[in-house]
Amino acid sequence: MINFEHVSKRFDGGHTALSDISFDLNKGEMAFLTGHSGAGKSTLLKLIMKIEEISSGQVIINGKNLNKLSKNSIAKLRLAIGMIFQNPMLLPHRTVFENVALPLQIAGMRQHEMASRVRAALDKVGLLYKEKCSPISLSAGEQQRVGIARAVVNRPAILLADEPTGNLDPELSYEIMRLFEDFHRVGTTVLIATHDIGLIAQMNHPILTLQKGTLFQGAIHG
Amino acid sequence: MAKNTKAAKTTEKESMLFKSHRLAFRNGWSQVVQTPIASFVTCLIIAMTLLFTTSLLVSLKTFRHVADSLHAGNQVTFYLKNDTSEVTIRTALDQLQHNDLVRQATYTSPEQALRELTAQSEFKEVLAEVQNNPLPPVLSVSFNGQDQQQIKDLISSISQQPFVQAVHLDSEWFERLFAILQFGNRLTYLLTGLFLVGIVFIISRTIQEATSRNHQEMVLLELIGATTAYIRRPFLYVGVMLGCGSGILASLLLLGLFWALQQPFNTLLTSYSLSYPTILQPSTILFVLLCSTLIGWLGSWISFYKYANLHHN
Ligand SMILES: Nc1ncnc2c1ncn2[C@@H]1O[C@H](COP(=O)(O)OP(=O)(O)OP(=O)(O)O)[C@@H](O)[C@H]1O
Ligand SMILES: [Mg+2]
Repeated sequence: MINFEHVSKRFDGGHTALSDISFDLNKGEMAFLTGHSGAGKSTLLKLIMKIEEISSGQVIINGKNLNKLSKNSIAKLRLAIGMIFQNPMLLPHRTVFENVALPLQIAGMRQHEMASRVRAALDKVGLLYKEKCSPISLSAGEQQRVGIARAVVNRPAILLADEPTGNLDPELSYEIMRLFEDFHRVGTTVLIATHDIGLIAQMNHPILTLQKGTLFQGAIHG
Repeated sequence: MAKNTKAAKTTEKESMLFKSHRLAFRNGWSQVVQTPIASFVTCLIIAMTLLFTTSLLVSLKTFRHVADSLHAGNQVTFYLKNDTSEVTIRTALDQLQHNDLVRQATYTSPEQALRELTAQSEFKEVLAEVQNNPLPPVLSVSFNGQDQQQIKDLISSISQQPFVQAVHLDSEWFERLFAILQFGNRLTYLLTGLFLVGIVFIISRTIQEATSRNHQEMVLLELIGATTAYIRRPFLYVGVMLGCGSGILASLLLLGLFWALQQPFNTLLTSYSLSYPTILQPSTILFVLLCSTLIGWLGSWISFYKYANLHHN
């Protein structure tokens, strides 16, 4: 499902954020991505979304080579991937409900179906009672959870998360991880970047460790 | 079966597109009403510009029509040589009467002219004693005033006939008038072009403000899988709404203006015993609406194009 072959990423400034990364995450698998700050975790996730371009190598998502995608296909790819960003990127002038509904609107879903999906997603992150609030009025952890609801609302085939539990207390962090496991259990491919070594040690999933842009350990499937 | 699923897919795609248009329309509308005063002022400025150019165009068209009809009644008098034979004159007259450009052609013989003159004159006795009739044979011709150039050509070709002594046409001031109208025409079209460019610019500025206001949202939409067309659509609607709104405003102003002008205009026309339907025709209004809407759409395209270039390179 997510296949990296000798992928390197060099930024315009000349900094090499990722070098020669190869791994393979099968459909329905769940894995963690760890590493020190600046190791390249966010960059790796952005490559999957084609938010950043790779410098060399190949990224193949669901059989599609990202090097060869048209603009519209990139949009389609992103719609099929739920991404939880490191900063939640919520729209301040829209309610929590409207923020979560965005991916469904883009997908052109019917109004009443949309409403029930949005409420279900908000319920999963425990924020249904805040649906009419503005994101500005929420705490950092609550905002992060709205971002999670927005990422999962479209039931994406792939779920990417960049520090999804960064602003959450241990109990809530664990609950969110369980939520991701639920998605994994119904067949979603999940890749989670996190610092929280203690938390991922409690769970039994492969771990990809980045160090200064190279895959250090835990390369799955060779 | 396969055909069925394909058809179902197509209708699903269509309904998706429809929904996205409805959503874009709503979003566009909320953009417009979010800054009601700015939107109204934009519309008003555009409407004023449209009002100015349209009334100029309409007035010019009306003047042209009036001038043409006046010119059409214009008569040219050909004084023929005294020794021209009756046959030559009859043939020429016959030809003129069968020419499409000629409305009326009449021949007045010297005898007839003398008789008329005698009848009207105070010097009946003096004229009665004139032995040699000094009056020339005369052809009077009036034209159908459609194509001025053709008429001119016809007049000059008749003038060059050997039997024509002199031509009297009092159309010089018409020619001046037409030259002025021609100038006015050119000026109006140039001004209209400039103003249209100005309107496109105004709309694209307004949309640019809207895009920068919504920059954060547009970035996010792109990240979570919206196509460029999807992101652009609400702004196209904003442009169309502003354009259409301006068109409606301009039409109302135009109707008011020409309603006020119609009465004095009619009086003027009657004094020349001419008629002209209504100055402002429904097709003009329709044209204004169509044009302004199109310009709005174009303006928003341009500003979105600029926006996309700015943020992707
Ligand atoms: N747009 C950019 N231009 C230049 N360098 C960049 C850019 N984005 C990231 N980098 C660099 O690439 C490296 C990896 O960044 P990245 O954001 O992937 O780290 P990270 O592992 O997510 O760190 P953190 O845990 O702090 O979020 C860093 O050294 C960073 O400075
Ligand atoms: Mg990061």
